[in-house]
Amino acid sequence: MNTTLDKKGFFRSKTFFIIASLTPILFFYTLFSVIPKITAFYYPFTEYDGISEPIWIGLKNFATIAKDADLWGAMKNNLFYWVIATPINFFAALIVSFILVKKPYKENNFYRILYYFPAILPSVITALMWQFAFHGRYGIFNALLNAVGVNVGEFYWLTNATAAKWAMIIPMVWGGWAGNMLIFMGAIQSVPESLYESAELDGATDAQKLFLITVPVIWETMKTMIFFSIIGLFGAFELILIMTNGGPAGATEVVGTYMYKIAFGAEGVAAFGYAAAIGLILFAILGCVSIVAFRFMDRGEAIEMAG
Amino acid sequence: MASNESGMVRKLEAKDVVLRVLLGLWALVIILPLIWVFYTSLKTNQEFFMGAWQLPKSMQWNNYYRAWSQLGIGQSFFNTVILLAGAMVLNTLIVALGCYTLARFDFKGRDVIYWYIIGSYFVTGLNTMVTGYILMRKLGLLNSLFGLIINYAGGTIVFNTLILTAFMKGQPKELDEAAYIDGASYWQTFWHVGLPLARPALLTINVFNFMGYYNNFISPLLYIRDPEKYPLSVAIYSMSQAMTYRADWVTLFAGFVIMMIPTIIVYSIFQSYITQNLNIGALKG
Repeated sequence: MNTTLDKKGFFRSKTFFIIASLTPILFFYTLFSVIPKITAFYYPFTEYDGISEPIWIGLKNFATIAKDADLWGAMKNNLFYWVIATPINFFAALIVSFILVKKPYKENNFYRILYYFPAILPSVITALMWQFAFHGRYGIFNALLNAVGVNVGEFYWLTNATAAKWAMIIPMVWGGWAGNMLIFMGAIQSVPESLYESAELDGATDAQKLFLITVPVIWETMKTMIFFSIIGLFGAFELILIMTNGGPAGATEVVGTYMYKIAFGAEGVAAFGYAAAIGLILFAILGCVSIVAFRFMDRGEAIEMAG
Repeated sequence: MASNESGMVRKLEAKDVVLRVLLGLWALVIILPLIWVFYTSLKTNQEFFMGAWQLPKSMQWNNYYRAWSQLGIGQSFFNTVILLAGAMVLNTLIVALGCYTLARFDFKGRDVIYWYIIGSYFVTGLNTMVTGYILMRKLGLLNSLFGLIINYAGGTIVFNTLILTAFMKGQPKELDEAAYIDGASYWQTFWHVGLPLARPALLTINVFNFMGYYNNFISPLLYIRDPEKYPLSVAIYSMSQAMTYRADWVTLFAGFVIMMIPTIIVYSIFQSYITQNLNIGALKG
C-alpha cells in the first residue's frame, strides 16, 4: 500500500467501492434519522431556548409535565379521537374491503381507485377543503344537511367547542380509512378460496365468512395494523393544526398542536427542552401501551385456538 | 376467481342492492366535496357568497391565472418542482448505491450495517419534531430549499432501503460478473447494470417519495421562513390564512385545484404501483 501504483489500484478495488458506496447512505441516514432520535433522549433533560446553550436541569421538565393540566387535556383529546376514529377507520375498511374483493359488482374496480384517492391527497388540501366545507354560510356541509332535510341554519361547526371536537372526526375518517382498505384488500385476497367454498356448502352468511374465516386468517396483519394505530395515537395533528389550531378554547387541542405551540408558538418562548420532554413521555406511554396490547392480543389468540 | 364470480352473480338479491347503494353513497361523499371545490374555483366572489349550491354562470378561468401569478402559486409550484426533483434524485442515488453494495457483495460487517439502517424502523413513535428542528438549525440548513432537499432525501432512507435491498438481492449476479469480465469497473457495473436492472423498484420508491415529499407539510412549515421559498403545501396554507383579510375565496379555491392536479396525474399513471400489493394478491388468488 506504500507505492503510488498500489494507491491507484486501491481506488479501483472492491474494498474502495464498498466503502465509497456505503458512505453516503450511512452519513445521511445517521445525520437525519439517527441523530434526532438519539438527541430526543438528551434535550428532555435540558432547558433550551435554541439560542443560548442547553442547560442540564435533570428531571425538572418532567416535574412540570406532571402538573401541566393543558397537556393532559390534550392527551385526553388524542384518546378521544383515537377511540372514535380508529374503530371507524378499521371496521369500515375491513367490511368495504371484503365487499370489494368478494362481491362481483362491476363498479368495484372503480371504487377501489376512487376510495383510495383521499388517502393520497395532501393533508393540507383535505384540511382546508373541510375547513371551508364546515363554514356556516358558504360551506357544503350545511348545504348537504339542508338537502337531506336537516336545517341547522348558519351553524359554524368549527367555532363551537363541542361541534368542532366532533366535526374533526369527519375529515379524519374521510382521509384516513382508505390506507387500511389497501392493506385489508391485499390480505383478504391472499385468503385461500377453498376456505370460503367449504363454508358456502355449510350455508355460511357473508358476515360469518368475514368474521369466522377472513378475520382469523388475516389476524396477524390486523395485529400489525393495531400496533401501528397505537403508535400513531399521538401522531398526525396536521388536520387539527390547519383547521382549528387546537381551538376553540382548546376543545380540539391534541399533543401535537400543543407541542408545536410550545416549541414554535407565537408566544416567543421556544421551550425546546420542555417540548422534547413531552415527546419522550409520549414515547414511553406508547411503548407501555403497545406491550400491553400485544400481550392482550396474543392471549386472545391463544384462547381462540384452544376454543 | 371467475367460477366464484359466476356463482355469486346467480344470487344477486335485495342485500346486494343495499350494499351497492351504500358503496355508491360513499363514492358520492368522496366526490362531492372535490366537485364543490372545483366549481367554486370557477365562480366569482359574488357567486361564492350566494351559497354552496350556486353554480358559476360563466367559468372564471381567470381565477387560475390570478392564483398562479398574484397569489404566488406559480412561484411555489416552481419551488416544489426543484424540491421534489432534487430530493428524489439525491435519495435515489444514495439508496441505490448503498443497497447495491448491501445486496451484491459479501463483506465483513454487511449485516451489521443493514440492521443499523433498518433498526430505526423499529424505534417508531418517537417524536423528533423538536430535535429535527434543532439539528437543521445547527447545520445552518433552515430557510433554504437546499436544506429541505437533503432533509427529505436523508429522512426517507429506511423504508426505501427495505424495498430496494430485497429487490436487488433477487437479481442474478451473473450479469455483474459478465460486466467485470468485459473489463468494466465496479462503478461502471453499478451504473450500467445494477441501476437499469433495478428500474421497477426505483420507480416504486419514487412514487412513494413523490407522495411523501409533495404532501409533507410540517417540515417546510418548520424549516422555511421566507414565503418566496415555500413549497405548495405551506404556500397554500399561508394563503388561506391571509384570506381572512383579502377575502378572495374563489382564487384560493383555484389554488386548491392546482395543488390537486399533480396528485391526480401521478395517481392515474402510477395507480398500479401504489396499490401494488393488491395486484400481487390478486394474482395469487
